Amino acid sequence: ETVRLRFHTFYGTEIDPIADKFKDAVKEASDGSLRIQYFRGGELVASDQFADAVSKGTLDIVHGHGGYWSGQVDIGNIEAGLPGAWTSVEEAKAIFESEEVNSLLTEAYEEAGTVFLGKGYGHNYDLLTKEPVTSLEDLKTRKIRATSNVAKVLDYFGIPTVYLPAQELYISMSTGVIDGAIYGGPVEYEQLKLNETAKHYTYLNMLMPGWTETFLANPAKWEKLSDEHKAILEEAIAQFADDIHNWLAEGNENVAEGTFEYATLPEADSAELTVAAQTVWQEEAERSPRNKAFIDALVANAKAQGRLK
Amino acid sequence: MKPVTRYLVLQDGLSDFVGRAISWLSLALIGVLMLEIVARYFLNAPTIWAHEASTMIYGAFCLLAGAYTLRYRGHVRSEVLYGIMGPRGNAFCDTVVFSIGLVVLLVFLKLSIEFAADSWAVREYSNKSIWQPPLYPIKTVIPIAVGLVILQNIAELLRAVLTLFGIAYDDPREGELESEVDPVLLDALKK
Amino acid sequence: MADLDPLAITAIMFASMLVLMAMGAPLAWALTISGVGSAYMLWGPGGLDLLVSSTFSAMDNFLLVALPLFIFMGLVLQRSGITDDLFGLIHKLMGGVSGGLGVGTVIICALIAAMAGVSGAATVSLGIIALPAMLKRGYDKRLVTGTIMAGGALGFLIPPSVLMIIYAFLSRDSVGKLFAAGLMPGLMLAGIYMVYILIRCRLNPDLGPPTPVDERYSGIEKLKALRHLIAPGLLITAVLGCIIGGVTSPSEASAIGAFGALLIAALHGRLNWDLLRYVMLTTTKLMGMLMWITIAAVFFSKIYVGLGAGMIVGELIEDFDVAPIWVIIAMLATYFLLGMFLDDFAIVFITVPLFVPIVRELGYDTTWFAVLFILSMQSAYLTPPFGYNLFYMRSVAPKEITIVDIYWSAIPFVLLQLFGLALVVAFPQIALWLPSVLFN
Ligand code: NA
Ligand code: NA
Repeated sequence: ETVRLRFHTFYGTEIDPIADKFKDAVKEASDGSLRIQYFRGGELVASDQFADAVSKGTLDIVHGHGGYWSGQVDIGNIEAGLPGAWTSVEEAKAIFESEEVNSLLTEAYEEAGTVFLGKGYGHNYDLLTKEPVTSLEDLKTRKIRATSNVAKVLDYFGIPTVYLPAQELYISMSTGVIDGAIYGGPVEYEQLKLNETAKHYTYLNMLMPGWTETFLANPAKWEKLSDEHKAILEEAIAQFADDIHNWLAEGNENVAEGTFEYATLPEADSAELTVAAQTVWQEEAERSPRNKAFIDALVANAKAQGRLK
Repeated sequence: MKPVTRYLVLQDGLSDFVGRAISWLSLALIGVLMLEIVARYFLNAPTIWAHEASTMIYGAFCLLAGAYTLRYRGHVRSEVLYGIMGPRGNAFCDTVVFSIGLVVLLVFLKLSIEFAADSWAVREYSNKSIWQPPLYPIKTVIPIAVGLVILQNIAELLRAVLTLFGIAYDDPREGELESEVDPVLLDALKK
Repeated sequence: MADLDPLAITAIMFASMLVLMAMGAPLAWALTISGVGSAYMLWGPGGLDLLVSSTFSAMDNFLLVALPLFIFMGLVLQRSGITDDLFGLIHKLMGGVSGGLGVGTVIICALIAAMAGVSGAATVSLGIIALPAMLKRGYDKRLVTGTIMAGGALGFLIPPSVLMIIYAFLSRDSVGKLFAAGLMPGLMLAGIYMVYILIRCRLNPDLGPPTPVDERYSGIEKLKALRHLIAPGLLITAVLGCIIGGVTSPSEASAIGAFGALLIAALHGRLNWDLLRYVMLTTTKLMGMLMWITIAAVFFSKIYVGLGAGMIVGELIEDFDVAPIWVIIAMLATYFLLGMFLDDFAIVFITVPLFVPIVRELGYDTTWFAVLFILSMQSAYLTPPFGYNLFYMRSVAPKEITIVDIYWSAIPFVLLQLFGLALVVAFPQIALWLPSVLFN
């Protein structure tokens, strides 16, 4: 009897080779008794409806990030990555692998009718602009495409943000509807060919990795799997997540010379951003006792690292 | 007036009323977007809500329009075969289509009620922009719109069944012309 | 459950849909019924939730906000009196040339196309205003009817275009880029029509006699008549300028267009409660239709993809050992055939989710394919038995023009459209040049 699982990621075709490796790994390790039916971003369910779709059994496993379902699952925004929350993959991993945070996630996703399977770690998440940026002050007269958490922090400095779907980024940037975007790292910007319209990449030093990813399963489907199949899946998913992270890291490292002109936000400005981010942290903490506990853990970590007093 | 006719007048009237009421949303849509353009280019103060608000108005407007469109037989259909079948043949086809349609729409209604209820339960909000409006009102529009289409679907089914079994009734829609070009438009242009 | 052969799934889903459509089911009903049936039988209850998530996706999309507003704009313009003005203008300017009114009609069509997003606007109003006027001056009835129907179909090739917005929504292309890509092929097709009319009238002057000398106008009068171009010119500049120049998103530009159209109607003294109510209610009716088809078609295609059929059929086509261009030609032939029987919105919703991934895999530019698709839909409006412009013309034409005349009049223009399509297939740059200049 072959078990087929509908697996939906939010990535598009860019990680196809990694996805093929993942599908093959599952098939081989299970001698063909477990198969992955893989769907790319937007193919079956819009990414912002993943949590709903996996809880109802439309999908069996989803690979998204907390920002997509933050309106439904309280900790979504926090676990996706708040500005200033962590500065390296090791730090982020330590936080998510801690007993406390792990149990918060398990509990929150169980309440949302899903099974929390594990995490993946993104990479650079910075600002791309048409004109060079040397300070936060520069940004006040520009229109930047940014989403919720980052948008709130920018708003704190009076920097106007707009929301646009990714498919409109290229034209909006080239015609000047927007002056810049915070969407990903060099490799993502190159994928969208944004380097043809905007060359200035500014490290914000706000959050690294700039986002984390989450894998969720449908409880009924997951319970029906044999222990062997569960183990195979968990291992393959962990490898898949690692492969994506490494692909991002290498991609960002190896973007051809001259594709972008890199700059870094002055340290004072980055520090100010982190301070401003505290209002966002507190706003998130107020949403629920569970969020409060998560934020407390982040604050404790930031203090231990010496970033917060 | 016989009860059947009275029912049809009432049901058509309901769809008509809803259609006329929501047609104002088209002007609201223009207003919201013009406001945003003026605020952004002339006052240099873009709003944080215009994009999402206009999207929500659009979604509610077009979805709720479904029953009005059905009442005015405005849903696109292929008439290549249907057109040569004659009234009884058409009534047979309509009976089949609108009875299966009713079952499918009832499934749709049940699913959309759950969808909206889940959103109410967690007081879901949108996370696209810093406006972060609640999402449960717009999600509640779905079961309402589906419910309105179900009601009009029942009226269409009843008409088809009566015609199929040769039961005479006064159709309040009888006098309405079915033309590719709106008769109102023709009159206006010919003046 | 999912172990069914993908070809069997394809057969089940499409056969049940076609049977329902043949029975005259509204397209939205046909797609939803066969989608729900297939999802439940082959997938189980979990698949049904895609119906609600497709609904929410169709409602929650800022790009689609432009749809009702471009429709609103087209409806206002249709009744604003702008067509009368424009026809008066070309009569003064070009009446003296053999075939001049025919050429002028194409120009008016192109101008209205650049303001309205739908195709009915020009066909209906010119059918009422220009057709009797040209018949009275001795123009050949088949040449004139064909010109108006073909010119009217330019409405969704020359931007703005409702059909392109839907295509972009389904294929996840940029609306602005598609708009830019449609402009040159649209002008090219208009040019082809004009050359055709001039050649035919040169060969046989009886087809389009020049107006008698005493009906001609002086230079000053002609110059003064040009003022009728000011309002349309401003509106076209505002809408297309905003989109292509990047001043606003297409959705905001559509609001400017709708607002501008109301202003033009007001300038003509035609803006009243009657017009407003007509436009609002017709927009409501059309959007109810479009929204429910959008939902049904998105749901249907997701069930199809989710059952694993889409991918495998796509792979099958790729493995099929033919040159990629033949795959494109086969798709275009499919469009031509479907266009004889189906509505353009039905075709876009059913085919784009199936065709575009294949086009992309084959390495073609999806913007280019979008233009080929829209060009094919031009013909769909003119090919019997189901062609909107044929219906519109039948509804508005005077009695001396029979349905046979209408069908015959369409044939040469369909051939011209196919010629234009072949040109864009052979020279993709006709479509891709403008977007590459504007956006790089
Ligand atoms: Na147009
Ligand atoms: Na046709």
